[in-house]
Amino acid sequence: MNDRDPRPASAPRSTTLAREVVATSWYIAASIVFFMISALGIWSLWALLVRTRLEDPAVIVGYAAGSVAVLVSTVVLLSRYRTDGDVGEADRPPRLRRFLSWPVLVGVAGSLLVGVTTMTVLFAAAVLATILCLVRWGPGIRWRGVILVEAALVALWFAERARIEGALEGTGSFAFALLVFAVALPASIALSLWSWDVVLELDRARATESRLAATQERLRLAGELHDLQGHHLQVIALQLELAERMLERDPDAAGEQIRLARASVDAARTGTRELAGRFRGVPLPDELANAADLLRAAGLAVRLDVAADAVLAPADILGPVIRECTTNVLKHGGGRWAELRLDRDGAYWRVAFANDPGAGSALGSGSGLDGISHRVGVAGGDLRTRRDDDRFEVVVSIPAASAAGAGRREPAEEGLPQ
Amino acid sequence: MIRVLIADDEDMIRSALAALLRLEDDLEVIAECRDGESAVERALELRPDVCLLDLEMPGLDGVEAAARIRRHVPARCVVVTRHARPGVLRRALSAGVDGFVPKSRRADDVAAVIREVAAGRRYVDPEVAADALSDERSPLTDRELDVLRAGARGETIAEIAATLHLSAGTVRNHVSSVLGKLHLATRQQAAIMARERGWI
Repeated sequence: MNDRDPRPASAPRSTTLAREVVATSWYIAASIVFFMISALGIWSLWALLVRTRLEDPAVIVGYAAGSVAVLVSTVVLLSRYRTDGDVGEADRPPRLRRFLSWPVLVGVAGSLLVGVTTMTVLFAAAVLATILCLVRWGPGIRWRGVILVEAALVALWFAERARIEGALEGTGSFAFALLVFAVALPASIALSLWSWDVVLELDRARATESRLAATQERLRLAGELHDLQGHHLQVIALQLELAERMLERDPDAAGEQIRLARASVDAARTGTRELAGRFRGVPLPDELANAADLLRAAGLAVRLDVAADAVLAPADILGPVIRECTTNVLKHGGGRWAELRLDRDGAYWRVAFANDPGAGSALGSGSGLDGISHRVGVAGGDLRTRRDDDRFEVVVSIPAASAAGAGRREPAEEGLPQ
Repeated sequence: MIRVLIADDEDMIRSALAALLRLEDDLEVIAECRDGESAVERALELRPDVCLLDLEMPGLDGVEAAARIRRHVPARCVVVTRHARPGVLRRALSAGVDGFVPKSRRADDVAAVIREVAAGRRYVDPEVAADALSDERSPLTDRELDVLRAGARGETIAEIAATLHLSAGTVRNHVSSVLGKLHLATRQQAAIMARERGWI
């Protein structure tokens, strides 16, 4: 039982990973939009400068409107692609609705406009295919479709090449750029989306892995629990059997055995709680936030101040302090307000609980505080209470030096069978 | 004399506890009920001073029963539970429950809590409070919890959207961020996890 890592499959690691996944998604989305803008840009040279020499306002307006429509559609479809990627297939809109949605229709209209103003089927088809790529298809459909589309685009290039190269009067490199941007558009965007799906899949695999680790942790807990309960139940059974046998001959001894059995029950309970506690344990700021939530639920106005680096404070000493103070505020407080504070004062960590004194606070500074005062004293800190007419305050200070490396709860081992 | 009503669906525990409490001179057990509904009914009829309600009862649970009783009768309510999910303690406190005790407490401790509560004080067992405080924080926002709650029985996105007066797209956004935060694959898993942790 030495290798205890009280935290099952740490959450922080997966959080940083999720952040990287988010960054990747932004990167991929940005590159898709950028590629779309570049393609529209280079083809605008063809549509506006080469073909109409900026003399036809209808073409200028039409191409601009078409481009805007295509870009809007791209951005909206990308953001939907992201959301749908996170939820299961059951929660996505039905496939037909995905295709008949407004962004797709806007995109189709945009590609038609772009086609009409460039007078090419090639570019219109490339843009249209790209828009359709951005919709989430069933498994295995997209890449097959993209291969067919690419073949069709190459064929279209051969069909329209003479006209385009003729109009360009021999500037072959520009014609080649037009070709590349049209033909490569659907394929590169399909590849980007594919890589995004892969990243997502990897992230899920990692999440599954951490869940697996948590499950193994749970199995270990179950094993230890079984040993512990089995041991205590056996002891209790023996004590009760003895009591039953002695009941007639020696009632006093029988009574003593029954008391012992009750003590065994208490020991079993304590052991079980400690075992469960080992697998829980939250950072102090969370514990304080939970306390504030509880007090708010009880109708108090709560102010909570927690220092930014409070996770470093010693949870094994301050955790019980927070719990005791919270119950005290609930039990003996006036029930109107409470202030919770955890901060660092030079070399000391300081937890302060203040509240309005209640009428029924005959118990005053509270018997529970004595035990805590002792533990705090052992750790080199001190506990002070201050009582005014309208304010009761408990302040606990712990030297920060003793806190080094003690940020984790270390529960006592008593009550566990060896 | 403090007049006490006990409600627990486990007969052995209820009758043993009632017998032990009857041994106390200043307590009078005036009713034993097997579920929340009958507890509410008997409480309205007998107007006890303190109601001792088991949390885990079929139908109406202890907190719901307490909330209903307090609406009609000035009785004080103590909820007894085997393990307190932090969400439950929070719910109990906002429902105006005055005491919260784990089932493992001895009968004389329970009697002391009954006296304490009858005298107008609030009692939250340190063990229960410790459980509630040392629990993982819910990483979800209130809206995300609403979405999970509205979809907890397998409702579709459209149904959740209708319940919460949101658009389907917004609901889908919430679901996606919930699954991202919890690292889960489906909404159902998220709902189960949230219920297990006492968030909803």
